[in-house]
Amino acid sequence: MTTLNRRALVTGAAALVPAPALCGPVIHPDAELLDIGEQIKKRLPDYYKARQISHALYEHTKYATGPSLLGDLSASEKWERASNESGYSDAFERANELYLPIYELAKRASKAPLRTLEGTPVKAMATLVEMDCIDIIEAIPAASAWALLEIAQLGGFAAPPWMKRKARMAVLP
Amino acid sequence: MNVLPTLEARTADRAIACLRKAIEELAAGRPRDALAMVATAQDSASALRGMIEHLIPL
Repeated sequence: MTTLNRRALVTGAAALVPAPALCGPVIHPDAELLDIGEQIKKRLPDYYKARQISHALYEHTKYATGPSLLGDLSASEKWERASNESGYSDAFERANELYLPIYELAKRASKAPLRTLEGTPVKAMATLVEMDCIDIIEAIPAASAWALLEIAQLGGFAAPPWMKRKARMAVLP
Repeated sequence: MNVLPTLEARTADRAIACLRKAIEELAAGRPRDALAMVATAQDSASALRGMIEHLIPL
């Protein structure tokens, strides 16, 4: 077979194969980050619910036990008993169980390189989770955490329901 | 996969790092430094929001 014939054969064979098959599957440069982000998104609603229940039971237990004195052993025993009776201990554990995998995912996301803008909301959410800002975001007196939350929301991450204020903040006019 | 980050991704990375640093400074009890970090992040965070909003199909 001459060179010309061989080339014509190869060109002809290539024409029979669809283009995507020749190129292979297209992988997004931030595929790893985006995948982690989807996993976090799926887990957040259950965690938010569990944390709200835990917090409500905490308030109930605190109200039932009344004010306690620091270092008062009987007070801490009283608190522990009341927490068990109200279900707060279990609810707290449950919320933590749901948080742990989210935290692990966030740690992975923080280590993964950011290659495109599409991965940015995942990075923002991961930063908030990794720094334990989610539970106390309403109390953080800094626009920084809110800015991160707003960026995360642009990527479809739900804000915690206890975030009463609008996430649009001073840092992002 | 060894793909170089886009220019926008580098900007985004820097903005997030800056916001993270602001929270760290706040947690360390240094609100003045936190404020400085937020101020540094302000421009890039605004630009970042604009860039991400362009990506979102309306």
